Amino acid sequence: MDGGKLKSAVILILLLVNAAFGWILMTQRKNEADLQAQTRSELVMVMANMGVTMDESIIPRELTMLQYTLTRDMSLETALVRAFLGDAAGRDMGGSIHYYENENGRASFRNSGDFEIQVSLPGSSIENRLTENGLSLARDGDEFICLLDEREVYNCRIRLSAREEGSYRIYGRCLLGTLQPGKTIASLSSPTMILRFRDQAEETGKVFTEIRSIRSGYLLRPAVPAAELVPVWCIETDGGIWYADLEKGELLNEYIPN
Amino acid sequence: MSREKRWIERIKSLLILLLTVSAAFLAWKTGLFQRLMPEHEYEAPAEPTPGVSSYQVAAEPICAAVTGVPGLVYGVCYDDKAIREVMQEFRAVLGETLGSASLPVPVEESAWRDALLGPGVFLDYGMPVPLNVLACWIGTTADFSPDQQACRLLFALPEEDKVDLYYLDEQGRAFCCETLALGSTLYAGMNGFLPNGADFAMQIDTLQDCDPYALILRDLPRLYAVTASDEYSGTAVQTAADLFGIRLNAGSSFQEQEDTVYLAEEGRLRLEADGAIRYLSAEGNDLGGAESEEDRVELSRSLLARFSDVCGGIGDLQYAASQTEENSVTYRFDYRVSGIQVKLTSGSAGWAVFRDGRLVELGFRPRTYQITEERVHRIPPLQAAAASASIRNGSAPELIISDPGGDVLLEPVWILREGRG
Repeated sequence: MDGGKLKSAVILILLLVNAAFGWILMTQRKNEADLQAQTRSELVMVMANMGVTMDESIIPRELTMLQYTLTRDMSLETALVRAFLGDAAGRDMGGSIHYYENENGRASFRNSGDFEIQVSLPGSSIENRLTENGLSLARDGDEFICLLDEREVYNCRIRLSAREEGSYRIYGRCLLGTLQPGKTIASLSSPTMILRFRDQAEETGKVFTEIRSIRSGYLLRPAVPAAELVPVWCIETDGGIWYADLEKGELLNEYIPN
Repeated sequence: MSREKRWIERIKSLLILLLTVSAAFLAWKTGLFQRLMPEHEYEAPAEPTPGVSSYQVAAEPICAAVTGVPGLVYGVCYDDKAIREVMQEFRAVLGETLGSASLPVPVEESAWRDALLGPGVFLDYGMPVPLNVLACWIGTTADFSPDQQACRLLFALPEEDKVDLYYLDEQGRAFCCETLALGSTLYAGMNGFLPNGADFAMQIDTLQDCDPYALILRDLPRLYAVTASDEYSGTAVQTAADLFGIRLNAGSSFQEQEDTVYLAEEGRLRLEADGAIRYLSAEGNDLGGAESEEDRVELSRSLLARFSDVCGGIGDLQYAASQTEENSVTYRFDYRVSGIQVKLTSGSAGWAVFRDGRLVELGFRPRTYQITEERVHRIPPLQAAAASASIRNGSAPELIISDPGGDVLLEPVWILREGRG
């Protein structure tokens, strides 16, 4: 057989091999998709038998997220103070509570990320001053949600309270510091996470009958020397909002009742 | 071969290459390669590196309680993991509280009692701890005077956005400080700790002779027997020799009674018959010094931690007491295993002696503790307290591990502790 015919034969064989592998791969993908769809619908039925209703569409896909640490950064803090108050002398009040004051207002910052600024200025400029100083925010009525990698940090919100004559109190918790990415966390399989959540929630004695939504996000855990931003599932039920660790599905101590 | 045929052959070769790569890629995606490759040999996890003692562990109390709704208590004792969860949740706000506390003001014991029954976080250290030292271990600085020491602390929420610090000293005197800590931060953390039936002894009718502020749990956590050995004592001796610049093989040793003494210019290393390792600086020399008490305690802890780290195991070295004499002060440390105090019959697990602010003596008893799978059952704390006919004058039952030395299997036992602050 001359070389040309040999090559043609090899090409034909390789085409058949590729077609076979392609068909196997498509079948595998279809089986996986069917299995996932079946698992989801069965999960909905199992939960219904346990007295909890939920829609199949809220069951999230498995995902990976980065864990972060947040180290307090005095330069970012003073920059934010300057944006709102101008030049203001700072004082350490003990316990790492820093206090700033001048004729324009006053501000205080804590290791936990909690802060408060009291100042007179146009309300419309507040969001710009916050975002121009490194805070990633989304507006939610009179509050700002802090974001990390476009996901909500559930226990970090900034609130505005209007006082007399154009004076505002801006307060809450924010991510003002240096973020350092840590390890990548892969989520537990969603059916396992939901069943584990239900069992753990039952042990606490708190009752719910419907899971309304499941979203991924972060919780800020204040710590010394650096706070942690932990990837979590935010599970909203008719009985309250729960937070479960993304990796192990363990409930975290941040339950918020309705 | 004509030019056209040559191009056709080249295209065929390229096609073979592309189809081969494509087939390999598709085979990998289908998992064929994983099935064909030999199983990886199981690699046992590497032996854990000896523990790195953390100053944050040093801040952990023996018992902790979280009272959300008045009268309903989440209490935990003898469980290092549960204690660690409490401390992790509240560490930042406890640091703020200690760091921003005003001058302590003596208050009536009734004020302490009322605050204890209200919402707040209670920590029992079992011995007087200087408040500045505690602040240092929690990760902040505080401005208490050196003689302000607390056996028990209470971070109380008199109003929603206010935290008051109460503490009892060794004599049982109560003090209160106002602070700048945010009550809302403390309160938010309390949500996750559900009442577990724990009570303070003063809330239990049958325990009115007991230490009123002893935390009485409904149940004990799972208890296991523990092995104790001197297996790393040789390593600890070498660590001491390296730290103090002593050459063990240099022939400069001698026997003194039953002890072996190694001499060097700056001091001597004594290996005592009971296993203790003691270094004494020579006249005019020392191992460093510190102005403030919290720096001296932390210097002692961090040096002794080097020895306990090489011994490995699950024992944590914890501050136990200080003794002040004319111009010297001794800081003592003991082991704690799974949250239970270990009492060595031969003496303290570690000690450091400062003279005029300079460290002149450091001693350590190397012990390695490992948990076994052998479950130990003990009667619950309430029954232990009720069953003790000797409870009087504010004493209370306490779970400890008594370690006589050598290679032994140990179990926690109930003892009756004298009344304290």
